[in-house]
Amino acid sequence: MRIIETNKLNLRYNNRQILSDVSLTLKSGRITTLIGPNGAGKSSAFRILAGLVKPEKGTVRLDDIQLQSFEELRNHCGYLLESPDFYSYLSGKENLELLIQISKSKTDSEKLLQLVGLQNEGNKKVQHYSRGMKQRLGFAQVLINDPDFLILDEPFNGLDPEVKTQMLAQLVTLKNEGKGILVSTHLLEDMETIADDFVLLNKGRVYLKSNMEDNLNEKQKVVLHFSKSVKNLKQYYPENLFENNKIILMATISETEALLNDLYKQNFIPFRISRSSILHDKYMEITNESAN
Amino acid sequence: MNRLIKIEIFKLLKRTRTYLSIGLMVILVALIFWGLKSQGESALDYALQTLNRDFLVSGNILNGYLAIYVILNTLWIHIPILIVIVTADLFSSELESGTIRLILTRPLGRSYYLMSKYISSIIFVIIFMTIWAIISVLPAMLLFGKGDLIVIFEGLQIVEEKELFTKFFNAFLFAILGMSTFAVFSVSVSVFTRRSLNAILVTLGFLVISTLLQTMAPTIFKGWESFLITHHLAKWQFLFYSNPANSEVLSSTIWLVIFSAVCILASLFRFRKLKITE
Repeated sequence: MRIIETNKLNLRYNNRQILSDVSLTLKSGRITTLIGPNGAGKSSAFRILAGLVKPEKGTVRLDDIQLQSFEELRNHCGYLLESPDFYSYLSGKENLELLIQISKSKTDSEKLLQLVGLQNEGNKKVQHYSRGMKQRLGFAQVLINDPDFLILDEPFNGLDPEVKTQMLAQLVTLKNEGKGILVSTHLLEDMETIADDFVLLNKGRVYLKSNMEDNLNEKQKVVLHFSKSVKNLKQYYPENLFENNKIILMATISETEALLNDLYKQNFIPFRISRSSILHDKYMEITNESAN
Repeated sequence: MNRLIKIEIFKLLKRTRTYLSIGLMVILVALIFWGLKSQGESALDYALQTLNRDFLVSGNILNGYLAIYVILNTLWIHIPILIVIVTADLFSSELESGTIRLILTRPLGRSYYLMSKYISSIIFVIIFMTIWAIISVLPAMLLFGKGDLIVIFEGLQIVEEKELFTKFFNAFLFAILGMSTFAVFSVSVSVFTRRSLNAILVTLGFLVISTLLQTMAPTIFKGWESFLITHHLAKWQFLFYSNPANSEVLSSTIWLVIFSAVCILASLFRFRKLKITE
């Protein structure tokens, strides 16, 4: 298993502390999601990992080997930094081929374009691309040289729901192929379905580290929505809260599964189930704090 | 490095600005030919009025070589402007558009990246100047024919036809060096100014002020003129002396090389510290 570990990253800019002691770990075969409100320092952390910005303090290790600089990571990582900027006067294919040459790679540009669904748009100049198309091209260039780690800052920006779903599926495929993936996004719900580890960043500090296993074993608020009244069920489940056509409970995943099995037997099938997560709650906590 | 240079040349060839610059140069040369063809004889008669009083001037004075010599005078201002609009933008356009971030997230050193910009700017100058030479020499010979060259530069200079090919060839080589230095200077300026427009304005401002200082106050700047790039750019004229001032040309060649090296070193140092994420 390959691992990238950053230790206590600190970054100051214009007398403002952007990052304070941020430590991140990326493991092959796992998706780590970096979340946080705007200005939390996510993009700065990504720029450090790409070697574009030098941290004031902090080190990085790759597979237990201390690297001299973050620039050394570039041989092992593919980067997508926010909205990618391409040469507008070149076609999508030409842009990819140019990056392939710089990377001394033998990757086939056509295959990459096909992977992101741009095979019919490859010869179009990038100046005629929509934001979503640029984002897809950005995702394609990440895969040049088949890197072990993918570092993706807001990769779903500007994507329509269909393409977003395809990209989420693509990330799972890449994870299953053994790639370590770091993603920053605001799409908590989507990432909760595919990510393994979560890092919540606030005001340049790590506010919370969690993983999917923890999340599943935590008692969380679950809301079951029904199309008919569930008042009659109150007598069987007195510990839960009944509200019109909803049952609201605090439960782990296995407890929720047990309750659902029970309800199915009584022919009460919820049309929608929502479960909050620690991550979501903490994220909302931070957002509300910032708003106040 | 070869790979990077090829990529830079590919990008140059794909940009409209490159063709705009070459197109303007073609128009400029065509206008000079048109002017010489339509009014060259009368202008030359006027210029040689005094000379005709004391000498019997015979033969084809308004010949192809004189036409090329006139075109060489565009090296003062016109050609540098046309080169700078392309080269000053090579680096800063990448900063402005953000493509530099895309490139530098690849396993690639900053110094290599910047050096490829310098080398490609010099290659552009060589291509540009070669086209300039071809479209100057061929039509000049076809339209005006051959003959000795008479020029008034620090006195009357008469250069025999048999010597002219070598002299013009050397002048073109020196022009390539001069314009390459100017291109290198413009790329370096763009590393400091970050913006293409600023880099173009600063470089052209430097050219204009330097030329003005050199022509308006030669006595004040005596001894200091070596530090004015335009002083050296004009040294191609010394090749047309009856007895060529080779040492002057050689000295300017060395100055231009030193000037380029200083520019490159300064901007490499600056680029290592440059924030490219703003």
